[in-house]
Amino acid sequence: MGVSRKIGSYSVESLLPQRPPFVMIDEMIACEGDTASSQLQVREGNLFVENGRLSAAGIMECIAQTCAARIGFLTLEGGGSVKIGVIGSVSNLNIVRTPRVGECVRISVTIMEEIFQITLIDACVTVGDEVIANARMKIALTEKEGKN
Amino acid sequence: MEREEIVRKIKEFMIEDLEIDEEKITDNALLKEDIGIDSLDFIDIVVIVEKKFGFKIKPEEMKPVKTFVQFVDYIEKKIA
Repeated sequence: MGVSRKIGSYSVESLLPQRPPFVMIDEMIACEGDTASSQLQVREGNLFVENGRLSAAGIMECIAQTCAARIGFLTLEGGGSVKIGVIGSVSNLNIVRTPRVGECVRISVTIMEEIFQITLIDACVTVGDEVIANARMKIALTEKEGKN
Repeated sequence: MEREEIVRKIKEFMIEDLEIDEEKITDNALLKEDIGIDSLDFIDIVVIVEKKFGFKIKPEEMKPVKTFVQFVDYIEKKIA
């Protein structure tokens, strides 16, 4: 899958309201139609790393931020400003294993529905060809703008 | 699809997918206040209705739909 030129022209931090050390994706790989994907290199020192592994909460935050970055991208493209989103719910969460420090995690999200500032996504998290987690998540966008 | 079948399918997804207590689902129960459906549930309903009944709910069409029986009426009309 090729890197989207458009999304590549934005830094991750310009797409998200989060700031380090709470940014949980290194870069957006693609954002096309109803799909988006990002990646994260799991590093020692990451807030969500415990005992050499990215925690389940960290995986969920990666998923949420991938979705948020897509929303941020579309918002910026439309001339708006990035707003703060919150995780509305998580369901069908299946974590096969948590990724280890040093592994590169890829997060792929598919938009199932978007209504009333709420986005429903299905997410798949992989390390190489190995699926390590799946989840369905609702991200609710607030009216509060992020600080850029 | 018969109305009874529509009611059965709606109750089924409300109980199984939205985890709503069956006793709360009565004809005149208000979707929001009595049954407890919120905006987060609504997005699930849109996805489930499309899957089970083959059409996509338009949010603006749902504005006058306040009770369970009105919701059944709405679905019945849409798939007629």
